[in-house]
Amino acid sequence: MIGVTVVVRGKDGILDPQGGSIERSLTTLGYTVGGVRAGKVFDLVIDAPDATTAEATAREIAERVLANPLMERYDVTVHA
Amino acid sequence: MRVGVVTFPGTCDDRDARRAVELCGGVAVTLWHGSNDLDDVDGVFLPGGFSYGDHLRCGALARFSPVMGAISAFAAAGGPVLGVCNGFQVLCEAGLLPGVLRANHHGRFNCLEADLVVERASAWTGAFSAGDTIRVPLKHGEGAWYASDDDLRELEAAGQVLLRYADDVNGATGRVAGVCNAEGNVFGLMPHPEHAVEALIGSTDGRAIVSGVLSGG
Repeated sequence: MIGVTVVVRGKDGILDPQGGSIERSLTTLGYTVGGVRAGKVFDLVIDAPDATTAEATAREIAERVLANPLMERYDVTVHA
Repeated sequence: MRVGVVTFPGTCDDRDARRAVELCGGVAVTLWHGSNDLDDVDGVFLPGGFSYGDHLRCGALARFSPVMGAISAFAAAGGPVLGVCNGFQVLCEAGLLPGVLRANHHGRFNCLEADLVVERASAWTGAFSAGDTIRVPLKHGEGAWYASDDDLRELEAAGQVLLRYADDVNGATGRVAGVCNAEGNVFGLMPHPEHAVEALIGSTDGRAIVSGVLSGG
């Protein structure tokens, strides 16, 4: 079993109302913030013989399920 | 005409959809998400709601349900498929319609009667023709249809944009409210035509759209 973390973010230029709401709240609290983008983190445990295979499976899952490539991008980190 | 109305876990407008189908002269057939048997229906209506709790992304998990495999094959064979609200989100996530739905640009839930401009005459807009305005209610938090500017231009050139919002209610690209596939037999929109089928509650303009799934899309 190999742990893999997939982080999904909105593509650059895609409007992020959630990040905007958080940024406005932070401003209200007195923080000076130049931008906030909200995303999603998925920690997967994959049954794979090695890190390369685990990463390939995680990328396939990210492409097919976890992210919508029309508006999102993703990064994969393998914890071997 | 027998129209299958799909119920996913979290669907909430299936009852209204069945009633609208019957009011428009069809026979409504309940289809269950866990079955890949479409019961020999002549058309499919994917209603609104919050399938699978809207987890991950709206419509993203429903697309992998058994019934969606059968509906994809039904659509590929030319069968008429109508998706409303969450049904539209499911069809986009499944790749049966172009684009994707995302959060409203203003960050608030929309609940209003929307004026929609008919882009062109089609089987999905009944007797309405280009430039007509129809009134249909909508209710959504993630209702902003998105496509790249290049993709939108291609869809417009191909005549796939059928309805636009008269006002910018949610930040949708090109104010697109409803779009069909290249073949024209699959149509999806965020507003709810099944809530606009009786004069008593304000509008009957939705009948034209519900009737599209009866007339073969």
